[in-house]
Amino acid sequence: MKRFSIPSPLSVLSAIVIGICVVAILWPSALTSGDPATGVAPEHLLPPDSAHWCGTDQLGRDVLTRIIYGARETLPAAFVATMTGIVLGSVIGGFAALSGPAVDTLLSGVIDVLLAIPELLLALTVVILTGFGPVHAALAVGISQTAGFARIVRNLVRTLRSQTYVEAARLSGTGFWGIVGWHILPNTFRPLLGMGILRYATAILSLATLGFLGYSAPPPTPEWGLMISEGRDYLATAWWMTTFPGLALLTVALAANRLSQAMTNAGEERP
Amino acid sequence: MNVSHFPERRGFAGHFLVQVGRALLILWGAFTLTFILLQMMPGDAVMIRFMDPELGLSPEQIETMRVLYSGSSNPVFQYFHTLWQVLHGNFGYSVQLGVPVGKLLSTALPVTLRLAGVGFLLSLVWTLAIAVGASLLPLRALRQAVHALPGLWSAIPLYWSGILIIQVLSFRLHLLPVVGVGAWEGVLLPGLAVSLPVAAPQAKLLLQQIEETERLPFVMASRTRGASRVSVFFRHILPNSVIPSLTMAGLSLGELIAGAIVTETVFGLNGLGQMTRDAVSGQDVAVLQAVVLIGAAGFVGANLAVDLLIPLIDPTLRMSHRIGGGKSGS
Repeated sequence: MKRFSIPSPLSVLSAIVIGICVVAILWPSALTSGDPATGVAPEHLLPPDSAHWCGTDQLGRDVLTRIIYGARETLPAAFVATMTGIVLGSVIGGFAALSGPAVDTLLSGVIDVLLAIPELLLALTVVILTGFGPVHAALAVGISQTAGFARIVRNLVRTLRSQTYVEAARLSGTGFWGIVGWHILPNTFRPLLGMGILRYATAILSLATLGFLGYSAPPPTPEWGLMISEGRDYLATAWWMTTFPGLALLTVALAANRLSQAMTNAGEERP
Repeated sequence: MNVSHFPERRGFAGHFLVQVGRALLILWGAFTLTFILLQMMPGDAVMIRFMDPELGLSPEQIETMRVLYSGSSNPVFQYFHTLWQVLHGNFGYSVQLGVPVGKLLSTALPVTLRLAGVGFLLSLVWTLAIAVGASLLPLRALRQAVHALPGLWSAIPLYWSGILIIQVLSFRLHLLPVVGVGAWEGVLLPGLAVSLPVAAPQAKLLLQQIEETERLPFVMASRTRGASRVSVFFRHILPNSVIPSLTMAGLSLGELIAGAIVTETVFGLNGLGQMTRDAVSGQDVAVLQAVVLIGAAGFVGANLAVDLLIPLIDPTLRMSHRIGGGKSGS
């Protein structure tokens, strides 16, 4: 299927969402004049209106302000998590593909085992080892994503290794590291980028899950998962406290998914 | 899975035995991996609990507890000891609660299995409904809307959908109360919450596959012979498209158990999820290991089941069987 090279409106919208997130991470004060940590006590549990677009929480803190500052908590951490997964996965997968059959069988077995364990349980195993906190949560999510990347990289490198041009390079005297550096690594970037963005969306959701379960940042932090968890106590009276942070998560995850899809399509279009 | 389903030389039984062996190997690997990881625990969980000065235990008593709860301090001995115990269904003691993990499981597991079962069935219903809706609904806009559902669902945070469901169905519409209901009614709403993200990848795959099948010549042929849209869809397109998403459904059973951890928290169910949360908070290693093994067992077990089912469902495999030739799958 041939696609137009003009990006679809949805892709543009997704790029805008990501752009707003970047602004929220770098200059949250450009988007809101409020303070995420201090509330105005008499203004607690106000429903959304023109002054507080997303209402206020039990301490009178503006929910929208907290969502904006929350971008800083989850989004960079999810990036770190996915990068951890990509780097560890590439090392393991690359090593498996380039070593002898014995090492490959062993590592593939380990990858299979890791893939058989649900990601959340794997992340919880890391959390129980390292303790709570945002850095540990990011590490845990990264490790839980490693096996997926390792599998992709291993298969990719094995395919690339048997390509004719790699064979030609080898015959013309290029050394092992020359082949890996020049012919194999650069060709793993695009598939890894597409998958990386997709997994980034998953990492955002997983990190928020750990935050929701209380294993990430401690309470005053405006972390989205934690905000939803805190809002659970006011479900019957203050729906806005859980609904808006969830919408923020949903929107960002959708945008990242969409961009990953656009990236994959653009890759297919290339001759 | 990209394993060929019917290599010519081994029959189906042989193929299945190989898969069983593979599943057992993976479970053993999962056990070993969690054992190694949890051996790396900083500080001994037993010590953390019993060195609490409020308990006023003497060092000798702490040592006794240590031996009682973890067997021995020699890791190699402990590995085989624990493996032997697990093989006999004995998952050790919960350090936090002082009761056997098996006992905790016997009350927690049924709740989670009910939840996972309801979630799984509902996810299959959703998948089928989305496939039918996206193909057969009258208006193009309607079909496209249904087509977009899986993408939306895959981005929904599980606990959030649970909370929305409570708010809308319980608080606003008073359809089902969340507390004080029977064992099966109690897992209906959480099952609904779990089913959405689980159905998403299955449905996405099924839609893709349907698109591909629709382009195959035999579909065109039956259309030109005058078969109705509906009959072509149900008799030819769907059976020839359903296999990959069935495999995907098998893969999702482990995820269902993991998803239960989150969902049970939202709905206040006392299942595996609650148990896991307590285990992580209390650094209760034996409990977490048991949960991880159950998650992995769910995954490999479902894969085996799918492996058994596929030859019964896949029309191309049935066909090749009738003719008598094997099929080296892709």
